[in-house]
Amino acid sequence: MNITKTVLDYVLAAGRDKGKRPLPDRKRQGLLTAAIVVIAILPLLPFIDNYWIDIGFYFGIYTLLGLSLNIVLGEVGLFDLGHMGFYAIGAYVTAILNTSFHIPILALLPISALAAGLFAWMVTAPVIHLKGDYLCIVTIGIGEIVRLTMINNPFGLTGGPNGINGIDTPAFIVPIVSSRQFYYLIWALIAIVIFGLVRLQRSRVGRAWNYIREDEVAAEALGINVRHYKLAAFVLGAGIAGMAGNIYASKQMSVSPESFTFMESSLLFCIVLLGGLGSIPGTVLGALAITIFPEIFRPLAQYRLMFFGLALLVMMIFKPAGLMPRQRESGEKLRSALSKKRREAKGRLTGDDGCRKDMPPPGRAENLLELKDVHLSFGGVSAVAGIDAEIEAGKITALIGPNGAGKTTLFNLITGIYKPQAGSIHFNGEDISGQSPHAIAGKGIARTFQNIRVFPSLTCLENVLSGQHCRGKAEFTASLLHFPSQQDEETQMLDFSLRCLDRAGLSDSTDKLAASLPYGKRRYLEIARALALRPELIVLDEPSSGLNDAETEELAQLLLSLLHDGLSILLIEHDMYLVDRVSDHVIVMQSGKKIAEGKMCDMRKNPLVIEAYLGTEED
Amino acid sequence: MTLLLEQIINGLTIGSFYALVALGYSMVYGVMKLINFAHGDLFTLGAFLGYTILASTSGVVTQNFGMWGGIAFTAAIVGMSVALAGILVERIAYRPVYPSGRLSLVVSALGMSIFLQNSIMAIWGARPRAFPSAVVPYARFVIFGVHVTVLQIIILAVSFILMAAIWFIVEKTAFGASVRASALDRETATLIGIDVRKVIFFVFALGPGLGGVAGLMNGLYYRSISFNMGWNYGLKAFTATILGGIGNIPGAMLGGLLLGIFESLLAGYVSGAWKDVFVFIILIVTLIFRPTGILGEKTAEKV
Repeated sequence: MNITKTVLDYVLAAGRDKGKRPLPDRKRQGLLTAAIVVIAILPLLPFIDNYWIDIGFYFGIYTLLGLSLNIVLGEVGLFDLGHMGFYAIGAYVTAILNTSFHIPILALLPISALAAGLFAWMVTAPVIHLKGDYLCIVTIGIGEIVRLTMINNPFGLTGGPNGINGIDTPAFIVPIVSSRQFYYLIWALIAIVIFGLVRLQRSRVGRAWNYIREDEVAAEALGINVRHYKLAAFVLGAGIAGMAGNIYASKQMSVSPESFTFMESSLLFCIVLLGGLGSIPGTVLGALAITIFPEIFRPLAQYRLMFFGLALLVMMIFKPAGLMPRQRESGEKLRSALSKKRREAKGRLTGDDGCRKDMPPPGRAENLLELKDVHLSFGGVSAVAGIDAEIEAGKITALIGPNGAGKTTLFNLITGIYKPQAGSIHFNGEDISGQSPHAIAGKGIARTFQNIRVFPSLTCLENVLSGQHCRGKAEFTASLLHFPSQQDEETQMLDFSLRCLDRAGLSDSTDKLAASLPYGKRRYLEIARALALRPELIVLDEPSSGLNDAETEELAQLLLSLLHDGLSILLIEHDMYLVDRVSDHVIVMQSGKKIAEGKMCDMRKNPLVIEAYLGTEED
Repeated sequence: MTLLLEQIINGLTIGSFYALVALGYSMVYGVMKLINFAHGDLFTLGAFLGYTILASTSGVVTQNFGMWGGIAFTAAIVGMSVALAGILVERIAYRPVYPSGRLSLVVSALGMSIFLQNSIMAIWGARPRAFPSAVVPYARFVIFGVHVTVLQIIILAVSFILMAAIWFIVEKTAFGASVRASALDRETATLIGIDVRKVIFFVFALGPGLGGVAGLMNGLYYRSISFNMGWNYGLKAFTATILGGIGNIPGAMLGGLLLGIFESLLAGYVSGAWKDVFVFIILIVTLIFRPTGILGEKTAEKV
């Protein structure tokens, strides 16, 4: 064997391993405190001169920018390679308003943030639906458009390639002029931003971002308004970048387009990836690496960027998850982060039995779901060709049929992933055809997927909490300021999600990552997640596939107990044992059409069904 | 009218550089689903290698092979060297990172781009270099009052021959079919016995090879080259790729030529300073209304 290869494999394995093993909590706390102390006292040390304090300031600027990009790229997973554009907007707004109207710098701080946020909203709203690399290219374009516009000096506003000079220094009680004062200004701002971001991470909003990053389709199907949260991330990220631009402009006392190049945007991208996606301490570390690297390698002069490029490569080979990957918090920790008063008050909340109270009791409408002449074809192939069906409340209905009959397509139509080309779908008497998946989920239809779509790098509890998302209301302000209503809501969500996990027999896996669960348990996790939505109708796509006989029997028991609690269930199933065991009503599909329906025992005798489907079993 | 025709010919010349570079982006994206940010710098590498061969050997090449022979010889050397560089880039920066996912690949592509750009700067210096003016004598035809230089004709001819060759290989040969299959679905391609590693080797040799030749022609055409020009060309060429439909070979060619013509018309009739802004606006508008590009096909995500 090739020795180098073996050694390399070993090193690789070790590197990857370390990334996964979490630091013990206490050690992490210690490191964190040490870092805060170092940052706080560094400029006061006698042997630190202004040169290094300034480096500390730029480290702060990159940290702030990294944190702002981390929202977009780290939390939501949107490839943003034009983030410097938002920073530039903040810097130029400050420069123009300060030099023209002499508005104080710190009064311009919120204005810069708003301007950058508004700009981000305007330019990303039309493109936010684009996926991965397409969005990446658009953001590069946005960044370049901003930079080129600044160079072209429209209406004499931006000063062309030379930029704008003569920007005032800020004043906060005293004028801020020295390196040391700027250093403390930026780090104070960072402290506030981090405080807010940590609160967001532990809220309904932060979790929604992570669900979108992990699996957009599943997030949308669980009632999360994907578009809204993506845009919000861009606006917030741009706003924070705009603030960084404000401080930067006043420190430099000038702005010019050359500070906002694509190269700088790629550096930010690298900061977030070096640190670890979504990890706040990681981002700070990444920013430190990017600022310190050129200083350490200063003797190498013109070669240092060459080595920097190589260092990025090496990092991605050996530590693809970043220096300090985000650690998911345990349920216990999530709970203890809630305010104590609320936790003690939770006694009055536990009366919740999991039945939905904001919806009419099941069984009000006799037909919970009504499909009328629903059509959908893909490029001339009719996947669903005129289906009429009624799903009764309080029953288990099974949808069976050979492969390619159009069953999953019908599910996607019901849950809003596809829009019917003709016909209508009524749920509880309301026409839901053509509504977005998250709106339909919010109305009380929860689903699971044929090819399991759990959120792999989140814990089981966090997975299940996603179902609770659309039952909560707390948005940004409530989550940032910990409104009592938000704290109540979080407590309630946690409790209910824990009960759903328990119901699916997963209470021992609460804090495990979904990716680490065996296949069968992932199926149960998907069901628990759907239950957390408090649905009236739960739609299961081949829940028994991949389960053994004992597990299938357990599943049957679970389904029957859910039925007992008043849920209505619609399932696609190939396991005739399970269909026979649980279903009240069976609908048989073939080639996009309904060919028969009734009780399972009648279906077995139906010649059409035998020919289409069951006949093959008797061969 | 004459001005319009001249602008279109200028546009076609620039467009053929974009098209050749775009082919590399498109092929690599098709198979790897990766924006090869280092591609623009490989284009620059081609320009500088060509410069070294033509300028530093003080005419030895052109004396021995004649002017056209010398340029053809240089183009062959440049094409092969940059192809080799492309293969090395894949081996060093992409293959080891591939299992770690898309985001890590983006970072390693950016890292490779920074590395290449700064290596070129370290070797050839930060100041722009000028191709010797004596390499291709300035000669031009006047056809119906329209000025066309000999060099433009050569560049267009070479570009179209190269594009036709690539189109033939990818669309008409058995090996091309395996390239297209790998682009559609890498896993399935492996399952039906296609050696995807061979396909990757091919696209990382051919794409950068073409980009290198385009870099050389760009140097001959504009004469001035600088270490950081690849980024701008790369971005334009990538825009062309999107315009034509990413992963689509004829699309990349069409996108490149259209972008070149468009840019030169904007510069001629609207504003030179704002032309790049318009280019990016067009890119964004294309992505909003036709994200699959002019020739791209619709793809549906399986749920």
